Amino acid sequence: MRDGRVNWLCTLVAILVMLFLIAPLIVIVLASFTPTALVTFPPQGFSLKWYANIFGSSTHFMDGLVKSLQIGILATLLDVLLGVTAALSICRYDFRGKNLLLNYFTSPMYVPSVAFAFVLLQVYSQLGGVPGMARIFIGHFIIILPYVVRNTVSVLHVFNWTLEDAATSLGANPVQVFFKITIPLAKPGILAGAMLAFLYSFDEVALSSLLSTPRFITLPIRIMNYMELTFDPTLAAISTLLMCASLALIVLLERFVGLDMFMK
Amino acid sequence: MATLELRHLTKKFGDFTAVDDMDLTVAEGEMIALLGGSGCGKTTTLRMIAGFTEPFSGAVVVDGKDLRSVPPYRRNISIFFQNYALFPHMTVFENVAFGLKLQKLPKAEIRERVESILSLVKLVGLDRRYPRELSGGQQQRVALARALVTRPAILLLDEPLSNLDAKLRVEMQVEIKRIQKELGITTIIVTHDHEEAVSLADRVIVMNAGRIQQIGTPQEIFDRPVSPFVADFMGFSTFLHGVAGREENGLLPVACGSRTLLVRTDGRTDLAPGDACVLTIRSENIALAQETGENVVTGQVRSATYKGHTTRLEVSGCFEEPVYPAISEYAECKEGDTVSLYFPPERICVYKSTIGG
Amino acid sequence: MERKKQALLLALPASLALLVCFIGPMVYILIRTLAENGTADFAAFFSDPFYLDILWTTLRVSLISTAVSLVLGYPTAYYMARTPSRLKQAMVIVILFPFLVSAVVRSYGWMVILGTNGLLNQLLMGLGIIAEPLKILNTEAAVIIGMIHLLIPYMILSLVGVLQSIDPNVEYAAYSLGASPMTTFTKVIFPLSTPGIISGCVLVFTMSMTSYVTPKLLGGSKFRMMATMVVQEINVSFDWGAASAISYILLAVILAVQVAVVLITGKYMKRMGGGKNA
Repeated sequence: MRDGRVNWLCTLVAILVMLFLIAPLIVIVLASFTPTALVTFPPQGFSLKWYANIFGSSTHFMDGLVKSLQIGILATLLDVLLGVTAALSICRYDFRGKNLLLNYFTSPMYVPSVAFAFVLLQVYSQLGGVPGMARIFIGHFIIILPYVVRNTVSVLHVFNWTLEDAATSLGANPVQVFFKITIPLAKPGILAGAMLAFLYSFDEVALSSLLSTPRFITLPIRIMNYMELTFDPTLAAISTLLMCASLALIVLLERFVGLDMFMK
Repeated sequence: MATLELRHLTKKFGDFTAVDDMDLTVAEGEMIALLGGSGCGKTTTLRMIAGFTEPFSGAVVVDGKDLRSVPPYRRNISIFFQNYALFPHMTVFENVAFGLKLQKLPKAEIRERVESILSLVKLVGLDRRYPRELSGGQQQRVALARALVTRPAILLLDEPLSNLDAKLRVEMQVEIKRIQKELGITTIIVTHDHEEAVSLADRVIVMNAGRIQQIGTPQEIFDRPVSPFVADFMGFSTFLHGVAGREENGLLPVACGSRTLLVRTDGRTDLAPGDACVLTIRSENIALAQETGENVVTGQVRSATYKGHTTRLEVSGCFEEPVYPAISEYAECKEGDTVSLYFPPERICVYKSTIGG
Repeated sequence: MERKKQALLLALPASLALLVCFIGPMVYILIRTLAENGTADFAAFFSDPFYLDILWTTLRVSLISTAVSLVLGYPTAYYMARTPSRLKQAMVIVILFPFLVSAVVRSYGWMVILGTNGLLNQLLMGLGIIAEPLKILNTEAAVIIGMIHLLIPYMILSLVGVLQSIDPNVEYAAYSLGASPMTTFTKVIFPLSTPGIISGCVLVFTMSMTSYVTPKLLGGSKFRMMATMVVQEINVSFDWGAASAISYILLAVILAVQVAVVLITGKYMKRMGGGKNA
């Protein structure tokens, strides 16, 4: 039967794709517990020494983590402010050129981050004396802005603006309407956008590698630097920890927002 | 409770005049219906009263006070929205309490007032549900409760019954009327449904193209529409063109093709003999006649549509235009039958023909 | 008027930030590059086979990655769209999870698998299928594998969104009119899902054109794509002119693809959209 065949093929491909997606991640988790420097399968024993190694001073992973968190949190906070107001301006009002404005707000998505990083590098070299944190921060808050704008717009796009009128007629002033009605209802989009923006910043490599200074290096760059010198399961251990953090995020996201946000 | 006055209220969108020089006075506790088709300006009027849209000129006056500089959230005018506009992230209780919390009332008083209004709209026990967990009729009651609980000076209802099924609609009509009378709130209801307007309102205002066509009690508007437009809107379907004769004994003869119909005008007509005019009559007022006489014409049934209470006929051959009687004797009329119809003179409305009308 | 003022006020902070920190610098540096060296750097790029080869490699890797992502992603997305919601929820998590894990981590996973002493070679040699370890890591193949792994979630998510929104009754309607499952798919489902296919392909293609981590980690030092080349010109050759040229050419290619897709599909999509909303 043809019908059966189509479904059978789809199922098979789906299973293979799922395995393909998950396999490297499982490999990393298993590798992080091997006692030997060379990852073998099946593993010859069990060891946590690579996890201990993460915290060794030679890796600078902890320092990188702090820097990455600083940049990621600050850039995300700023972009939630900028992105939500920008999304509101597009969705709340009807005017010509609003699509153009949306494209403008999301334009950093269309520019390769290396190209943008290099442009910033040249500007910084002309200005001189721009501190490492500011160098990376400016790049990050620009490239992650589109994620906040897009996700907020996707919620506000279907927003029932009569609710604002309803609240107004019940005595809510514009500020109260905004914080009691608009923001709570746009929250799923804002949260999803903020989460994606933060992760993008936290994982960003191309821009950070060009703009970092010896005193300000983010975690992904630390990991890549380590990888070039030593290829041992310390990398698997830090990767496993990062995956656990991602898993925690996905659970939180599911709880508060629902994952349907991502299929739009 | 308040009086409402609209003075020369006008709204323009670019070149388009949505509401044109509207004057209206609403008494305390009165229920007014703004009736009209889409684009007639009724919703724009509502939005101007609520303060969501600024008038181009003219004023909204409540209790003698011009509301021009009062922002919508200080007007104490509640709106019931067509799609209910319940806050989806709040429970029934939170929705209803929203306005009271903004007034910073003590918790105990809020609870008490919410509970009493919920019992008024018969929603006791559902206060912890979210709007999506309620049926359409329940959602509507929540919206009504939310609009009423703040004890507004004026209540605006925007197409309140349009989203409900027929049975629920009748039930809610009664309900809204009861609650409005019980609280005595000055109320304006916007609707495109003439049955809804006449069954709810003390006075009905028929609007077209931004202008008031007729103001009157439901009875007046239903029985004596001032123009063929209003008649058409109130569901009149038989329209005949004719030429007026000379009134005698309060009866005006009108020649429609080869037949003549007598219309009771009792001297109230401005038609001179020879004027072209339009006659209209409600379908239910056309009766089957057993014998010939004055105002009795015969024609052939083209179609008969069973409507439950009545059967609606399309009859041709009486005049140039078809006539549409609604009769209760279903069995006696089939397609192709010849019937005699009686047009009671006091039920016929007559208007001077406008050019091209 | 009042509302328009409010809209402008709300748009202002983000607009200014973008102007000062993004559009301004991008335009300024382009003008400066052109003013200093004229078009010499760009001419050098297009006359040097070394650079042209890098552009071609970048295009080739991106096209292959996009094609494979589509071919594998479509059935997966179709299966997901048709699956009861609990299983689908699990599948969404399996797809979103790698999506939220950094490219560095994911590339590292492939390095462990594909390396000369990696798990794949250990497995194949252990089974006696090969005698010598395969050289996969530091080849184009490794980059493509890593790229697909990185980007297929984007493809699947854009496809699931569209496939889900297709009214199942449309499919039943086709069956009731006598269409076989295969015809229903080719004549109804597939055409209706083109918006998702196009947006998924554009997304995957542009992301792989600009990717940096995957070619750097899985391609090795001799494998070059446009983005890695920019960094190499800056950090190794110190040739900022060349870096500028490569950056702007890469940007131009991506914008050209976006514009072309909009122009070619714009009209068609609009009409489809009209039908789909009903």
